[in-house]
Amino acid sequence: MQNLAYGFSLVFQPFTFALMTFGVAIGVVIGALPGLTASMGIILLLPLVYRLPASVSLVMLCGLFCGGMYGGSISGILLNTPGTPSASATTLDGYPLNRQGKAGKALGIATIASFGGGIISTICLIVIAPELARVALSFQAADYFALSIFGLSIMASSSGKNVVKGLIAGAIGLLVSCVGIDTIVGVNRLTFNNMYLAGGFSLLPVLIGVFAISEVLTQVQTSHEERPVTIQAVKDVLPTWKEVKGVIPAILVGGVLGVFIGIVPGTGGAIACFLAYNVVQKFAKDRDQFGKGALSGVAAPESANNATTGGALIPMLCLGVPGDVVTSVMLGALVLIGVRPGPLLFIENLDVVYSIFSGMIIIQFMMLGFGLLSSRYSPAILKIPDTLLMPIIMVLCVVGAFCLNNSLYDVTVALVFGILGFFMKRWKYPGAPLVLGVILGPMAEENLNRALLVSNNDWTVLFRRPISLTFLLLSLVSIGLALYNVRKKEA
Amino acid sequence: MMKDLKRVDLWVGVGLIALSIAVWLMTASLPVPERGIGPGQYPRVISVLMFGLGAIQIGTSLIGGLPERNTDRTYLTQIGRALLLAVISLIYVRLLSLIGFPLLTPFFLVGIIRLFGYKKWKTNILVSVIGTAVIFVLFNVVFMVFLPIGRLF
Repeated sequence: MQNLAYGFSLVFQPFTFALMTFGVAIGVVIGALPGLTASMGIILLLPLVYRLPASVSLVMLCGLFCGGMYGGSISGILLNTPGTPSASATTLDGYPLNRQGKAGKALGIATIASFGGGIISTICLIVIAPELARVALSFQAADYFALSIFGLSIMASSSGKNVVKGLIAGAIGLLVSCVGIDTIVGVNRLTFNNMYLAGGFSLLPVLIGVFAISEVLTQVQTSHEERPVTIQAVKDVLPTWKEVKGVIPAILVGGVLGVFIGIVPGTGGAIACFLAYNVVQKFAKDRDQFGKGALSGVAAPESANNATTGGALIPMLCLGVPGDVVTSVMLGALVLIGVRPGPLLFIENLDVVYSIFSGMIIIQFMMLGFGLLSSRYSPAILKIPDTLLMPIIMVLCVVGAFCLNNSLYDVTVALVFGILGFFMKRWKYPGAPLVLGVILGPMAEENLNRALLVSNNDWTVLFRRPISLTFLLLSLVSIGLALYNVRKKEA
Repeated sequence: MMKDLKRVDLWVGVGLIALSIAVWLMTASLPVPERGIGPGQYPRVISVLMFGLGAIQIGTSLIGGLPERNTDRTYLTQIGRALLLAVISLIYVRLLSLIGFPLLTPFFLVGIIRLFGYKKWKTNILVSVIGTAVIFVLFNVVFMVFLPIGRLF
């Protein structure tokens, strides 16, 4: 409790508070615009982030994460095009409500449900994360190696039909992390005697390339097709108490499901929203109204996708394994700032941890206020044409990559990874495992080396410890299950 | 679409095997310590993984036979537009140190906004100039990141 109070004192400092508000506002706008995602928003803010203290930058990123998750519902309800995949289920009832002239009501319920889901997930984050970190303190080198393999395998196995493609992307990420002077003996590795490559690939240009530039390149392919914009006016945003009372069960169910889905690495809001929608529909009294404009059909997915935020932060903060794509980008941001996520974070950077906890609570209230007050102006956000926005984002990507070392070499690296990311996207190879490979590669190598040093090159050390054995078995199970599901679907 | 990708997957598999062999050969001369893994052993483990994945990709692509070549060429126009943007961006980055951010960026923006299909020239130029100015001032003054101002002028 004392730590939480300390966290609040940090978060309420004017500078931190202002940046947190900025993060939420930018997140809502980015989330609302189809084609832009919270991960892209975080990447665009990275140049600013790594010049700030870790606790300040992280609460800003959390604000953007939560804001982005909520913002996706705005275009889902108003345009029938979810701003982010996490808002896909919201459109099922949100858009019919809009067609009935109740866009304001749908947006109001979405805001309240997002707030409810966010609060549930923040409470779980505060309760579960320190306990999990305490358990993780007993991890040894072999366990960390197995954990990084588990992180990669779970991200690859969540690549839908493309499990092998996810694994290929992860392997390429691991290979990219090998380039440069190795940390064990200090010799050049895979550098072709190029002095730039000797430093390896910095994470920021890779992130910018794979997640942001590739998206701009993807958008330019089809941008000649105009987005149809016929948006109804938004009015009566505040729902009545009776309406709010009616959706409370949906918010609770969505919230709890969202947290648990968020905790499972490699899942995320898109899965949570549909799961919550289906469960709530099954038990709803007005289940025949679902799909035609049921308020619970908006509340359940919105609560669930926002609840994944806190859930996804749990494995990222405690174990250094991201829960979804956005947290993998956040993990990259943490590494850039110089904060290594994992159980030691809870000992060495307590200020960072508790400012995130306190910040997450404040962010939910900010989102509620921001959502309810700004909903009527949201159609204006959606009128910003992609054709003007994407080129500006391209310039921001160039500037962002340049900021790291004031070097145009980093910008070239970002562009090269952007082209790679573009083709990966086009050929259905997921980008997240590649980035995760770059992040987790050094962790895997360092801990494998340490484990073998201690055990005198006895590789069975990886299977003798129960924790490492469990993670390695879980990796096999996750990939096996994913392959089995693909086969089942094909049959 | 999925069928069309089979041919791509086949070539990705071939490329992956070639890459894994190259990595194996390039790491052959790296020192091997008595204990622990040396600098070459870890990339070699990855190269074995890549070889296996490449073989799986080739095998699964060949099962059921390759699809007929796609006669619809619209995808080439799409890829061409994306590659054009990538090339313009690479040229822009190369010229940045010579011409500088404030002078070069408006032209770059005007060009790529047009490439994105925006047709109103006046708005295009206005957004390009204002966008450049805002980004330049924001980074140079607020974030203290000094963007290249060029050597020509």
